[in-house]
Amino acid sequence: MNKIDYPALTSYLFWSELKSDMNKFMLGALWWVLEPALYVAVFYFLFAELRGRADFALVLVCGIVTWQWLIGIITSGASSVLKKKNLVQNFRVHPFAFPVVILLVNTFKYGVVLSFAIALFIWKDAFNPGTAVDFGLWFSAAIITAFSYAVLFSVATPFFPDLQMVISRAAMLMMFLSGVIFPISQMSPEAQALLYWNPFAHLIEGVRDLLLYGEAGDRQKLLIILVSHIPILLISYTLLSRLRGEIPKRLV
Amino acid sequence: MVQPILELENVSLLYKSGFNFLRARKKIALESISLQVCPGDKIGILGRNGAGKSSLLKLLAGIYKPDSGTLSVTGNIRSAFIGLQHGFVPYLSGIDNIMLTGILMGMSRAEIHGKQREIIEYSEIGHNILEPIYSYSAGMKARLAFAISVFSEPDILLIDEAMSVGDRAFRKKSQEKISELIASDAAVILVSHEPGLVNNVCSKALWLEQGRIISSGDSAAVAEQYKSSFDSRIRTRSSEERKGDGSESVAGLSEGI
Repeated sequence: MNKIDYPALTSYLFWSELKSDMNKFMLGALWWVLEPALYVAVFYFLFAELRGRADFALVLVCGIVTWQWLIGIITSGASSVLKKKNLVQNFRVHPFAFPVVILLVNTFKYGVVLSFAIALFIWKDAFNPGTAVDFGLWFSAAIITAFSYAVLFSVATPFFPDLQMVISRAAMLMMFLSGVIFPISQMSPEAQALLYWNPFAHLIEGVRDLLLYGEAGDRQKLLIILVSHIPILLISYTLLSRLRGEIPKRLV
Repeated sequence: MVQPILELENVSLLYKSGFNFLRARKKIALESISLQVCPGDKIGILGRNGAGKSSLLKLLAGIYKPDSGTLSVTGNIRSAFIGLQHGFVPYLSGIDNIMLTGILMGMSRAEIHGKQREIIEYSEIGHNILEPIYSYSAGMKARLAFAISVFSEPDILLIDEAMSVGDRAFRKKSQEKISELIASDAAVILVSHEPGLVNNVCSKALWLEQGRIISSGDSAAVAEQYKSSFDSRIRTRSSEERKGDGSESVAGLSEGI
């Protein structure tokens, strides 16, 4: 049957997604930066009691920019197969291509937004980066964790479409439970013991350590997060491959 | 003996719905279908709505996986499936969709670039090719889908009633193109409600009813069988309606008295 050139398909879908994202609104790509900036502004004024900390705004920028990247991969990745049902029902295409495109688009946007954030940190004399190796470890753990959930949910949503609703509602709750607004290290020991079971809490803390405090973060924990999510990704990929002939029937 | 490029053996296909694994609802779309497709075959699939025609085509295109039976493919064949949904991405332009659809049909980027001009000319889309697909009429989309499919030079062309869309001139042009493909040894499988079209285009035919093969063989014979079953059903229905009308009027009359 048709031998699809998947690198060509992925790169073509990547550019077309970016193009559509830029043409969708009048301000186009400016929204990539405006959206996290609005979040930072709202949370900065909402949680006035934390403003006592001199670097609260920068802590927020670091957390929100990274959180939006991770949660964007998960929520858009979860619905990626459903959204491309037109292609799934007309071509013999492996559905794994769709969460991959979402991963690439969101990571590209994160690269752009993070550059602005780093420029802000440098301007505020707060940029204190960790080593490239530590950044590599953190980045690998972050990308594999978010992508493993994106692929897992992309398999499930054609069978349980309501899951999309659950994921989008859970995203806001998870933002508070991941230390995006309130750094978990400043909470009670009981709260810390509970919230540190959440891998995203370590990833958010890790990026702050790497960009603002020049620290490596907890390498062992990042490694555990990375290694424990590889099987989830592999199982999800296997499920997606095995169900690729069943998914188009479910989307009728 | 010619080796089949595609072969279905006792294939059944189910649509499952509901999420209770113990009591999931199952609808049989195809039951015990066997079919051989050889290079140069022109096979028509006839049947009423819900007969399983489109499901069979998607199975042959490899989009659906059979629930039982075997689907064997010989060698590395290129198939093109033209359905009424086309598989276009609405917010992308016609030209972007040519590239995307071409890649999904197994063409390389260079191959698509080489054939782009021919596809645009053949589909008669003109300057609209730069506009997003959502602004196209159903006929324009059908012409573009057909053009991309035939210029991908498939080994097997699967057409799902798409030829009934578009004007008479384009239908004639598309039938000529199909004849060209057949001359180059491609197999064509055409799904239709119209026995006349199947008889004109195809040499073999298959009549499906509720997922089962009712009849198969020479296209003229199968098309005639299908047509006469249709005609007799219409005759039975209209005579029942006439009887119904009479009894109603008698009942109405008696009520009035």
